[in-house]
Amino acid sequence: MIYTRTALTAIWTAAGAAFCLGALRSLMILLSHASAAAAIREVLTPALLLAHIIATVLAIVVTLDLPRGSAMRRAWWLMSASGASACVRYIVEWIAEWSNWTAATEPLIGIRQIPGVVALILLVASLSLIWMSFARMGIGLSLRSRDLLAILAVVVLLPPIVLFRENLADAGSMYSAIRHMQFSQPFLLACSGALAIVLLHISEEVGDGQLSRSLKYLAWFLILRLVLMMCAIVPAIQQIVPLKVVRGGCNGAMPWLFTLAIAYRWKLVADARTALGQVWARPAQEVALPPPAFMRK
Amino acid sequence: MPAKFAFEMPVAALSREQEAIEHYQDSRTDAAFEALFRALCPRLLLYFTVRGCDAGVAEDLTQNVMLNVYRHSGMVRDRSLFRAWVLRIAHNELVQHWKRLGRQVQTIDLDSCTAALLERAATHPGGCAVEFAEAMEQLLPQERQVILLRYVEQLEYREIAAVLEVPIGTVQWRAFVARRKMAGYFRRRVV
Amino acid sequence: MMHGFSEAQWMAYVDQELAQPDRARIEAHLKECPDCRRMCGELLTGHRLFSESALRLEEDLRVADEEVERVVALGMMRLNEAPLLNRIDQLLSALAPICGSAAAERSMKMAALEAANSSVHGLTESHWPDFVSHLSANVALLCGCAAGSLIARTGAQLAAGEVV
Repeated sequence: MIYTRTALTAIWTAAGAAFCLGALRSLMILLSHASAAAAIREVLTPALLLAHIIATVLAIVVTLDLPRGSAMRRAWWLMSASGASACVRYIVEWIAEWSNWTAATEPLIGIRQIPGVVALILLVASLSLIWMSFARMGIGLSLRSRDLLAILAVVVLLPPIVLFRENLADAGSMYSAIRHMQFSQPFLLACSGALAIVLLHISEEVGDGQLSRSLKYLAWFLILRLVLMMCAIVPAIQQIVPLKVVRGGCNGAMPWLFTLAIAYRWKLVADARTALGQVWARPAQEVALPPPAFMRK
Repeated sequence: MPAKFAFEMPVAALSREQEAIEHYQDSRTDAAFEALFRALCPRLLLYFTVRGCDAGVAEDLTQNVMLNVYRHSGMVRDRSLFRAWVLRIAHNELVQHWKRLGRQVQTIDLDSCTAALLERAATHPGGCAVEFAEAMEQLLPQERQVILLRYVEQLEYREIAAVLEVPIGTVQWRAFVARRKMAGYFRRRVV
Repeated sequence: MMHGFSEAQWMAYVDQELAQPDRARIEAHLKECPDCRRMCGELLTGHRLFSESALRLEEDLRVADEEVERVVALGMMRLNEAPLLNRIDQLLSALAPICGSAAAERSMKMAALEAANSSVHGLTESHWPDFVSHLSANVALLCGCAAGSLIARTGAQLAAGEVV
């Protein structure tokens, strides 16, 4: 299990480094050091892509460990597909950066919205299926009043975002489909934010353990995304200088939060396999029990 | 010099209990455990009833406590604190029970105790529940805990300290304050 | 502390549990201190009132001997399944770090219902194979097949009396 701890340490380190780089980039922009900011961005964008690649690979490992035909397996297939779609989106971002595309100079840059929106839709679908799977076990069914208040708080974040949606990156695209996709993102993010509250509740209900931790990180990733979108486009918040630096850091680190959530869930699989290997290594003197249902053909 | 007053504890019950505890700790047979169960059962049923549980719940929780005693009694290091250890298990069982009911529990606050006793007084007129409940209402929750354990569960101060996991000085201070409050309450009632 | 004596000493004196020479010191002090005499009186009154009302309450709430015997008999019946309870404990401690203690308990309750239509504590030896099967299936749904297989294997070894 050393390799799982090493992997997690590496991801935590990458998240920390991404936060620092993101914050530094924002500071460079504030101080009008454009070249330094651009140089940092050249490191950040591939790092974001790497985060999603790692998350996608680990999500596939988790998926393959789940019983065939189960809702949870379908949920994790959707999660893996969402990760893959996000990878495509960051590839487009990277290409745009290399080619010095901007929304003003190259309308094609808007195609990043397609994988971006697809990733969000798949993520929302995945989260819904995860909730359903837990609900069948009687977990996550009864939301408390503070959960409902938190969901209300998420919904309340939506109007300012919709009001200032023209400030979104591809809001001015010449392609109406791209503009519609861009405008749909706040709603999709709000849906995922509301589901994040449910995940937080489920993580508290399951108690401690790796499953709970994975769900918590996933929930906080989703909430942070929504908050960061609001901070990015609402002018009043944009003016707060210290917040810009923090926001830059969070933007850099946020995808790694997703990777951490998936990694903790993957660690659960890896640890279970290691423990199973140790158990199998013991002399087989156990009473012959029928194999569990999920192992029977 | 204050007038002599002897707190007449039901000595026979206590010594039966103590005998059963010592016999079980020495022999650890199933027969000894059954005797221990029989000796501790009334105490545990009273513990849960006074703290707001109805008869069925009190029985279930009593059985859960004794199951835990059976499984974990080998872990008791200080034999003289066996009773306190049993009541600590009972405390934890009660907290778990209330959590399962969805109640927020920081301490076993005895508002449920007083409410349950007052309810009982309504259905069993002439009983002592309301008198005790009114007395308890004069105290802070921490003081009520100590008084219940001292006077209803009849534990010594060091045992109470072990149950509540607080220093013995704290227990004695709370008992000191509670007694003086009770005296003041009685004086006001008489006046 | 009050006039050089702790609360514990005052209460022990009032309860006639204080040994010499502290007892003599307190008595000597009480001859000269009306405040402490009043305080002793309050302690004594409080002690008496609590004792009397607690005794009456205990008599009022006392359970009949037949009820005690019934509870003991039921408890001893449950105890006969104690070896199974140890196994359940061990399964729980294997499962809790994986999916969380609350989820582990919930899975076990569901598995017990599915296997034996009873609570976890109501399981018998004959229910064990089905219980383990259902539990490992539930765990697989939550945490994956590796975790489910781990529980299945652990359950089998526990049934064989192995220490895991």
